[in-house]
Amino acid sequence: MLTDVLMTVLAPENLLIIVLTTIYGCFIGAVPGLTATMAVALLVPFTFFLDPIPAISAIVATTTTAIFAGDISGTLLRIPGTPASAAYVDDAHTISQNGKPRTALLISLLTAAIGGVIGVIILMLVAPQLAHIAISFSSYETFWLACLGLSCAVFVGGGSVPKSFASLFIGLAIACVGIDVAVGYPRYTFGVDDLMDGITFIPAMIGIFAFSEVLRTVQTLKKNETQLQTITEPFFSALKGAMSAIRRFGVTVLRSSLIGTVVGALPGAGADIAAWICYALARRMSKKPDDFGKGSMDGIAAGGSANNAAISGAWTPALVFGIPGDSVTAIAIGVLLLKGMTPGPRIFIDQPELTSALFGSFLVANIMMVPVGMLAIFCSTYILKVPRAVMAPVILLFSLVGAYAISGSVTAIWIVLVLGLMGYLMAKVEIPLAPAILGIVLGKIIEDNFMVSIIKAQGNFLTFFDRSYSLVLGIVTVIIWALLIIRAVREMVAGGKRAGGEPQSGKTKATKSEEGAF
Amino acid sequence: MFSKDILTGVILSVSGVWVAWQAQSFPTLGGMKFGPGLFPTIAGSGLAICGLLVLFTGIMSYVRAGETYPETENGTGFGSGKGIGSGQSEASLKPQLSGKAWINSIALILGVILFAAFLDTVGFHLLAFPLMACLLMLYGVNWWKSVLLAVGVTMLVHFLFYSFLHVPLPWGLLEPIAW
Repeated sequence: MLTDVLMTVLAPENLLIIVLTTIYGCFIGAVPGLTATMAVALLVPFTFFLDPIPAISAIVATTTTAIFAGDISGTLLRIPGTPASAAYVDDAHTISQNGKPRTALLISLLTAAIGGVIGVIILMLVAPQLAHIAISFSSYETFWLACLGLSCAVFVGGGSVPKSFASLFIGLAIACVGIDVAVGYPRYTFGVDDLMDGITFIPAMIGIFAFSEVLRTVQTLKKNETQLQTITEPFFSALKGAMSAIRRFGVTVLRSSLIGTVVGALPGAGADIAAWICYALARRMSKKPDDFGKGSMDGIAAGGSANNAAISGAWTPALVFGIPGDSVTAIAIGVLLLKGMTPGPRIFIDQPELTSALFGSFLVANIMMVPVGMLAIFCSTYILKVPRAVMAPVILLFSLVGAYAISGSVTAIWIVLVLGLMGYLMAKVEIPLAPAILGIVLGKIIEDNFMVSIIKAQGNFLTFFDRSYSLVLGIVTVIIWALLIIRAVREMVAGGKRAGGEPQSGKTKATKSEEGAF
Repeated sequence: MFSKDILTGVILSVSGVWVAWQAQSFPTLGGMKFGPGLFPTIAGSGLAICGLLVLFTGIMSYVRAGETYPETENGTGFGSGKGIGSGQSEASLKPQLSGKAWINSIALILGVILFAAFLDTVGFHLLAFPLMACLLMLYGVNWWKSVLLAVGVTMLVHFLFYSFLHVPLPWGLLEPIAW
């Protein structure tokens, strides 16, 4: 079996796809405003024509490098390329201004690779074990699990409680469009045949993450883009500096990778939140907390490893339960479903070679990122010179044609437009996007399993707590709901006092950063 | 900020009520209380309740802020008149969209609408090229670069999607010379 797995992972086509997507991810991630999720959403039409393993490899390679490449513009321009780089952008930029941009970038590149590899190793160890438990789940457990995923997204996603819940219900309402499972009644289709199957997921994601991003970009176009810094140090001394820094902050890297993986696995909390949490933690643990924000290599190591570990962590719930841990895995689940593979414990039991190959590709993608990333550090000034005025229309055309390619009908383009505007407006009024995305992905699962369960139980809701796992999952879900209600009441009380409108310090920062990528 | 919350709350609750109200006309499962209407009803009423809460928060902070700045507030000014906030508290002073930003956004949205509306009849190439060229020029790229880029990108998409991925991009009016 091992040779089969190695053959699949190291097959020339697979390696070629990983190299190409690594370069692509690097480019998109480095351009400010273009997020990793957007890179993946635009890639989907191409993965559609690949086998499952190369398709997933492509998605993984794109995300890991895009998250690292976000540091390139963060370091050189002080504009985080993706929200995940926002936590430590001041540190990276300060080091860069002190004449050592390459050292800062190499630290984030190497810690990113370490974080990613640790995240994958945890995934390899944990996912199959979880799958063995999950295999015994019936419709009751699946229902509760999906509910738990949704509640978790509301809980950790940032934003006020009513707005997070509103986002969730928007997602659920969108998931209701189309033929219903129980009796086949068309809901909210307005007589459009293409809507019978529901809102197609990939065009929806392209709209929410690509179109709304393009719209934001064209609103902030400036005549003269920021001046690039050109002073730099020799590559090898930078590499030496980076290596010694990583050795010095090894503990930080390890801790951040572990925590990042766990945070990434929580539905609704992605790479950006992981980076913020680990950065704050590193600052608290540091002997020199005053350096943070003023060029602390410790901080870069913490954030840089945490965000890439989170990328890997997000795959655990996605592969085992079909519940995405972040927006990228939400898209990946969509891709797998298009290929007729339903993510879930069955894959681990029935096709272990497939999951092993998947993990192998994850590792290769994380390692491949190092040489490509170094190349990107060399060429960084050229990458950043591509004007956003050119990028915006090009990305627009690719997203429109991509959506059309997925479903072969113009309805997809309308979906891109409508949901794109919706996503844009939601971000404008500070409604978090994560719960809505999960609502769209999980809405059908929740409804299907609820209907099956309630028919089995002949309308008796208490049977939802009859089995041991479903009891535990149900109770945890109910506890989270209770906590959310308490938080909402607190917010209301505090909101009255805060009416003068002073900014909500740290929390708002995290919410803001998260707008683009989950 | 508060005027935004009020408008958000109204929109959320109105759409919630609409979703839930529509769901009442859905058939039910024989002999059971549950049917296709259940989930839309939950989603719709949930949305409506959240909308009311957001609206309530908005009104609360509006009232409180109104106590601080009694005359400068204009209750009807939310929505269209986003920019009137000279007397608004700090939280509401977000950078407003400039005229250029509005033009850029409207052009983008209009472009997509035209693209979607005429894709099947006019065809991909005849739409993508002018769409690209116009947007590039509008966004500040000079005209000959815009035209060159527009041709290049249109051909790139053609080769990537039509030739390589075999996506049936419609030829529309160019059908006679399709290749």
